[in-house]
Amino acid sequence: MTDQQPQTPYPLLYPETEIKQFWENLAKDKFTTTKCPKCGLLWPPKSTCPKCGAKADEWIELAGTGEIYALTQVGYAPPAYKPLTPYILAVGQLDEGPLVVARVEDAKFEDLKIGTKIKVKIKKAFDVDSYVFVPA
Amino acid sequence: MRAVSVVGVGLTQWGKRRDVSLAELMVESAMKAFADTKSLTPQDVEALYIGNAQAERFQEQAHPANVTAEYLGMSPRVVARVEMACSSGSVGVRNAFFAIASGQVDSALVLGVEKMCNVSSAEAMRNLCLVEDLTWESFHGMIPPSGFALIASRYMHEYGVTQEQLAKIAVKNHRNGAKNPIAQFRKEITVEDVLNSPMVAHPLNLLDCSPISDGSAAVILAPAKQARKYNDTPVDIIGSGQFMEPSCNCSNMESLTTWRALVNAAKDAYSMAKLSPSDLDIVETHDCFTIAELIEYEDLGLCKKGEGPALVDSGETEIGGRIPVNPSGGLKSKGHPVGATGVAQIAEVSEQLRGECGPRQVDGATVGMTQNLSGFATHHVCHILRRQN
Ligand SMILES: [Zn+2]
Repeated sequence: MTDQQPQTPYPLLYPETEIKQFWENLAKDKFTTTKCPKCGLLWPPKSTCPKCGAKADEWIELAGTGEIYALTQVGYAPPAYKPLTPYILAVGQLDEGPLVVARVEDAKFEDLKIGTKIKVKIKKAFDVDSYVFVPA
Repeated sequence: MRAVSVVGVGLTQWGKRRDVSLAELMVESAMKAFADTKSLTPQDVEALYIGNAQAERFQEQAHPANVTAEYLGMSPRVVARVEMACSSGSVGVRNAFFAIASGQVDSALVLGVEKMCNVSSAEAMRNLCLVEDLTWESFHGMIPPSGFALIASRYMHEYGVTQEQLAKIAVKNHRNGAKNPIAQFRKEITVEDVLNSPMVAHPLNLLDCSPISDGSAAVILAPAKQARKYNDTPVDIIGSGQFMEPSCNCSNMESLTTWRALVNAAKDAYSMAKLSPSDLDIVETHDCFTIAELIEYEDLGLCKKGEGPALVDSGETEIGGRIPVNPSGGLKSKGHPVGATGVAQIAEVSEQLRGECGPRQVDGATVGMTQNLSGFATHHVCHILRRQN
């Protein structure tokens, strides 16, 4: 990144939200999500279960390991992402089940394919606590 | 429920329209649609639906329905601005269909409009990214092409399709659009052109993607029994279906390669029309990206799951083939002013069934279908139309 840090490209829910704990946990290097007492793990984290309406206020830590489920390399993106372009974007399937969208770093696009083992790496993006995938 | 007909259609020139304001663009398509009827005027019409996605962002104009009403001198008793992103237009048509079918009104104008070229392409792209889940997808660099690129990667993995086969869809739609006087790109392209165009989101290149466009489309609906009062060749809307998946994030779709919302919307439309896919003579689909048209072949039932690439290779979706798809040129070549697209699909199928499409006419077409989507294919609207006997 240059001195001219691009502005946060999109408004985030953080920090005024019922799921602000997600970012608080990221700051403690934990990748977490909420869990419905009846239906199980929710992704993205939600404070109310969309399946049964129960309050989902239990937070569980995810191992952060999984594999690539869908994959692309983006060559043209909105201005805030120009410094990153081209970047790899993936849907990763975590071992606990959820499908998570994030950029893949520390890898060449040519070396990745659906099924490649990856893990979540917690790091800041646009000055906000965030996460990417890296090869496992 | 009363039967409903299309009694007037009108499209503006699509492309870059620096010569007109948003309001003037809307008036242009509306007046063409009224001129297409025998005698209807804006003052006669009881219901007004405006399909528009983002006038607030592209023009900083909110409440566009009221702008239209003033510029057309209309006093509708039923009126709504319909915002459903890229499917705004066909949701407007579906609402107008029910307003007339229910007996609430005897006429409706559905006007779709988007004017996107007065901002930079970067800003247009940013605006379109707002359709996604901002926190969990857009923030990470998800853009509309990358969502469909992820879908394409999955399709390649599960069923297999080559970039050449995807390119053939773009080539077909440009060939058709070259014959459409209102199309944004009236230029034929080759498979090599597509493969050599800049990478937008692998495996999709620039020429796999629909453009940023200005344009407007209008259709006028009336009860089928009164239709001949307004038009000598009315076209009936005999099926309408809509379905949304409980998913804003593309990663939460039930399947990236079988679009549950499309399967269900199409099923409802076929069921209302009492027809099956083999009864269709033409289809206008939402080819925002080439991979979308491929999956639409399958989920509309034009071929079996996994057989889309073979259908592309067979040439049967060309004009003159078994089931011509996007004879208008589709979003790919005709353009994609997002709020107008769904209305323009109804207009194209109506004109095809009336036999008025000149060099891109599908001979003898009597039944046609439209399919319009929004989000990462999580919401779909389908209509089936038939020429009135
Ligand atoms: Zn639950």
